[in-house]
Amino acid sequence: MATLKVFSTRGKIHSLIRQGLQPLCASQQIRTNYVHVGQKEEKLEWSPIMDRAATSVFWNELFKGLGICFAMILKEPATINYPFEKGPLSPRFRGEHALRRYPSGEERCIACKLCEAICPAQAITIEAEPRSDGSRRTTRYDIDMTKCIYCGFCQEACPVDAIVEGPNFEYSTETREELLYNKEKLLSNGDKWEPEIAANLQADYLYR
Amino acid sequence: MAANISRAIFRAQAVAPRAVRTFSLSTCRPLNEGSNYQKPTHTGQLWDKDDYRNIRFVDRDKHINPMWAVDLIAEDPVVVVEQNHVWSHSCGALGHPKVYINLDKPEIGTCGYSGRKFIQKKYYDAAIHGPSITHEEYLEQMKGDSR
Amino acid sequence: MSLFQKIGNIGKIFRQNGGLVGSYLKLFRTDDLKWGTLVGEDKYGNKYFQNDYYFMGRNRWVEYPLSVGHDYDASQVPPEWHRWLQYIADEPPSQLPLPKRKWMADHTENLSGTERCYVPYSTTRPKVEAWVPPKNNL
Repeated sequence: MATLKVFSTRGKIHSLIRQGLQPLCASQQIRTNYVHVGQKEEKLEWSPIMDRAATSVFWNELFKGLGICFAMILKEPATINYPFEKGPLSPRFRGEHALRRYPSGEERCIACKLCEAICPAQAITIEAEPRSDGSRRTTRYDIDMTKCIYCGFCQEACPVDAIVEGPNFEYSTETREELLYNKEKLLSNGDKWEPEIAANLQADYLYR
Repeated sequence: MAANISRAIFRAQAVAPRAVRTFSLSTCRPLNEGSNYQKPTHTGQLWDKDDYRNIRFVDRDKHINPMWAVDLIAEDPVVVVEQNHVWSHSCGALGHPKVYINLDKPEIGTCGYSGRKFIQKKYYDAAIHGPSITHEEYLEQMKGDSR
Repeated sequence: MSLFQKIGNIGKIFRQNGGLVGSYLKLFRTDDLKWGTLVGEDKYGNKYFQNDYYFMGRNRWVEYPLSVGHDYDASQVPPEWHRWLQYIADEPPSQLPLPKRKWMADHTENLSGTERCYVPYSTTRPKVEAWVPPKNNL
């Protein structure tokens, strides 16, 4: 292709026309400060032609690319090696739900149903009954995790921090029914994650 | 009846319930708990043995929380108070709304939120009301954790 | 970071991961070879390492015990260490233990897909009870 262009005279004709037309339209504004943004025209002297030929014969770009690949091996990767490394998480992270207890072991939830009322996805179902010792507690506390949108309104509505969205997000299931949490599951979640949930609430309670 | 038959069939196939994934390379992992589908939950739920809904527990376990709040709070000591009233708030911000409990009656006053029991000193009887702590000890607890 | 230091790090990595064979096995299991200080170990056998030479996100990591084989799972990290591993707190629970109550449960991994998976059921007692006919009052 480059050798064909040796015989091209396009550039010369252009300059001839421009010079010939100049005296005819003297009032025309002449722009000189052009910037070339397109593909550069290849120089047609012998030495650039030889350079280009050498580049394509010896696969210069290929080796440059391989060099970049090798440099990236030595660099620290930008990704993390999950599940061995994990990304940073906020103490306010809203993950899997849990029902908490007081340190004495009493359930915090007294079935005020504020969370049920505020839940925009209507994922929470509560039924309450007086317990055998006379205190009012829930007998049903179901959360449909497939409906839940993790907005965190339930934990904000709760006056006693009973329902919280814990820091756990690794609870994916293989069947859909495993995401229909009942009270036993939520309480067990709370018992499991309480050390971290309590510490996270302790870290943040001044700011809410 | 159908549940019983199918359960018998399934049980005959399964040697022991194991926590092994389908495409796992490891062959066995110990299982710590057996099937407790015939145990009641703390909310009093227990289906009849012949209930057809028990079919879901074939080869699966019924997850039950063994810690019953009724029993745990019953072990909690009574707080013996000098005055005729007491506040219960379980550490304030991390606890529950403040509750005023009048202790004029000769019986235990219970906090509706946290279940803590309070009684006036003149009505307290160790034989009836069980172990106790003083109000000062209670306030010390309130400083430490959200009870 | 000069080239010599990098070569020195390679030596450290091989030494910590148990020589050439150990490093190969570790690489086979974790797809990554690193060196760091052992911060602690939990009761399930998970070992936790830290090395701030690596960038945040990679400077804390967990090694799952060999007993779980290739069934290691991200949910096997107990909550105390989860807090440290996910950069919520800087103090590991070996330095600053979190309070423990008697009603707290042991950690379990995500058991979905195993025979011990969660099965939903209604937690209320039945609202309609069948009438049992009297036997002797006829």
